[in-house]
Amino acid sequence: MSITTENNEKMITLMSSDGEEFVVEEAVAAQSQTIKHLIEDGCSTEGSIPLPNVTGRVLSEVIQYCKKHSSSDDKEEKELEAWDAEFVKAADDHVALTDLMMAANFLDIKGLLDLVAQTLANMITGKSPEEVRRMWNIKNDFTPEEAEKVRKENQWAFE
Amino acid sequence: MDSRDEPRWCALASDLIRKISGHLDTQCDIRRFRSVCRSWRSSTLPLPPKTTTSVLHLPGFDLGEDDNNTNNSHCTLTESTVYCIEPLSKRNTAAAAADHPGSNTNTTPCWVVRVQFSESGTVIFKDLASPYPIRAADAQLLPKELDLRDYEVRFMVMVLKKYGDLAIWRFGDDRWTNIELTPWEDFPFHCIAYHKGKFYAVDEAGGTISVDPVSLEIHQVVHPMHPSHCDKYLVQAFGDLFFSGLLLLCARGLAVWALGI
Repeated sequence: MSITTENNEKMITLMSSDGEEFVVEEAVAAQSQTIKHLIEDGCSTEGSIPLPNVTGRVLSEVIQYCKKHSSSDDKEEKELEAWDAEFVKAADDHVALTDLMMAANFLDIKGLLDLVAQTLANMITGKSPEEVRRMWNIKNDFTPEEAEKVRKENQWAFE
Repeated sequence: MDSRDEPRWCALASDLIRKISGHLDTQCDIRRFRSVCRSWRSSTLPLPPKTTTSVLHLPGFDLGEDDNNTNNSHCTLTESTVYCIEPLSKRNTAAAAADHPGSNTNTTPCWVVRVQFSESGTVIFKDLASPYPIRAADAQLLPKELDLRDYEVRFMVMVLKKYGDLAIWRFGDDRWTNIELTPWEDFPFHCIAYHKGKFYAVDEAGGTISVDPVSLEIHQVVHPMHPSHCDKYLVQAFGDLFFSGLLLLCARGLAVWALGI
């Protein structure tokens, strides 16, 4: 379904995997290459665009990002950087960030994907593999042979 | 069960895992990333072998006096990176020591070394002040082997800015930290050096300060004499640090002061 606002902005309705609907300006939705292509292919004229991989909670965050980035121009780069930093901080933990990253990947929003990847990388930096596993509930699934290879790769020996 | 409790990392496609690893800054972080689990390891490219030493064959120096000295020189060009290495488990201890400038920072388990990679893939640690590798026998300086999974490897940089100001950047810092000095010390700096675990800077008046890279504590090593326009250099020789002043006004004048550190 596409409607127009007073400003003559075309509106698009997005539907999350859990059935929540979001009405956004086309320019905002088109920050996502995936949605942009769907609009270009005429998929938006027959009702809302279903996004089966993204929950309402995550989609509302993604829309928040897209709104900010579609309304800012290059001159506001510094302000935008600060906004991005606050945005990922609000995402709170790696679980929320991982959901956000998967959504950014599915929706093909490069800026958001890079932002989240950088944030996750920063969280890993300076942590031992054991700490990373413990924090993020990852199983150490190396076979003894692989574990030995890993050990060698990490060895700095005196010559 | 709340879906948020599930380990989502396992669900991340390998291209996303690779994307995250692409944002890591150092080889050490990439190595550690590859050590977490099989899917992270297989999603990340192994590191290319790195060697930082190459042998150069240069014509000999003709000293003009003794024929024996004209033999071919054998030079080695090396690239080394200065790292600060500290055990991850001891990081909190180190941070606590840095918060209490009065405490003895020598006990901080943190080494600042030059690191080079040899052709065989082994690593050579060198003292910053010496061209020779640190030998295992030299002590309790470093463990015999370092398992990077247990160590934080960082580096830091001190710069001398255009107008003689100093700034330090330590790995992980968001920004440069300016070295603030009291007004009476405020002569522009001429030269900086790293010696025995500390940064040193000599200013226009010959005043020399040391800066502790961990606590950023500043000590006046040599009090300023009189400002002069000659260039000052910090020179490392025979394992000690000297500073010399090149007196441009009276040609060929070169004065050397031993800093006694």
